[in-house]
Amino acid sequence: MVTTDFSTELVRSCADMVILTLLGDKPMHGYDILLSLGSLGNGQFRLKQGTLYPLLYRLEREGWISAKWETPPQGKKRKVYRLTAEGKKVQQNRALEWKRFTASINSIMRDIADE
Amino acid sequence: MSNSVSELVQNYFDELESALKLSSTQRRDMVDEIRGNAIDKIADLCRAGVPEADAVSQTLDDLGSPSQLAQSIRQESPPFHSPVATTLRGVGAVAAVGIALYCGLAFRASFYGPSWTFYIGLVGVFLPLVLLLWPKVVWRVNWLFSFIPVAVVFAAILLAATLGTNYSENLTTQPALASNKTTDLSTTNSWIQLSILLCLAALTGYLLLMVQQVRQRKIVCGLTLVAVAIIETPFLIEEYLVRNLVNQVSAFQKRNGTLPTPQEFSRLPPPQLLSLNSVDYRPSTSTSAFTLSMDRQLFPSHRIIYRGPVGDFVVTD
Repeated sequence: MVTTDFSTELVRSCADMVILTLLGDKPMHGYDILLSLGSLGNGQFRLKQGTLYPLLYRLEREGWISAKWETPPQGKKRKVYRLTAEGKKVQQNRALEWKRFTASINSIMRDIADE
Repeated sequence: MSNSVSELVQNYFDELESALKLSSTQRRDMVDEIRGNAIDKIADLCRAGVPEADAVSQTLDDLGSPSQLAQSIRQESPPFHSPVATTLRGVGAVAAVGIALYCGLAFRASFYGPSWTFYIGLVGVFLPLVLLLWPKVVWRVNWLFSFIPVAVVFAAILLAATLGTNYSENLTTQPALASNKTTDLSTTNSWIQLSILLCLAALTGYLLLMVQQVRQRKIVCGLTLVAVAIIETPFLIEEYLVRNLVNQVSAFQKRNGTLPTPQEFSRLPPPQLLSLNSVDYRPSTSTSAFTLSMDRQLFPSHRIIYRGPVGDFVVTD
């Protein structure tokens, strides 16, 4: 059976890196993050709201992102998250690791398919 | 929003707020954020043509049940973080630093010269307490994973200390046994002391690794070094000055062939920060040795003594 959703474990293992990458691009509030996930890539990497908030609180606790309530000139008060300097380092390391990881997995799968 | 739908949303967030079991500020902050985003999502879905009731149901389903969401959030929130607990922990941490400084100064006054084992013991005892108490420390895994090893190591140390005491008491109450076991006792005590120090050093290293933020780790290490410097510096200066005075007496003796008399001693150029009036100088009449002693300036209950015949420095109380 082919499903359109990724497994929970797979999403969870990559969620930190995805959120850090998104916030590295620009500061965002929680709902903005969900909307961005829906529109970026092929829109298949989705997080439930119930998964997003604990994840954001953990990243904040670890010091990789910071949160601040902000009221834009037009619009309502929002809690905006931004990447910290330490978070940027973590994101860069994870991104490099991810590239090596996917290259390695792809290589294994290609080799098996060629046999 | 219709009344029934609005009530449904309100009930959800009331339930979430009460299930969070965090401080009122934290609860309010989290619920306000999640509610605000949920309302935006409901509005977007409605604009996309989804009936309001379905939009609400879809949004709340996406959040999961209030108890599940609260549990996931609680798992990410460190324990003992209510405002009262945070204040108490902050006060406790500051008190622990104060006690550590006082104990450090008091113990350092009781011996001569710097000792790395003393600082491993001091840092190993107080740093874990300060780290666990300080509410701003972000732990790599969970506060409990830091608390449990501290409790286990401290309990083990207490046990080791108790065993050591009983062993020494047995030996002192049974002199016959004591005479045979003197070497064993000193070896046993050395091993107990060494293992305690190793435990404390390992615990300190482990806790520092468990501190998540590199910045916090650097601050902790930096402040620890500052505390060690605060404790060590006055004693190092004092000991340097006393040593300098002893060297002056020896130089006088070399120059003149005899030790200076107390009157001559009082006319020696005094080292800076040290008053010769506070120094008790006693030349020996029979030998060419002298003793020199003075009260510790920070802890006058302790006295530094230079024992000329042996040529070493000791501290007595």
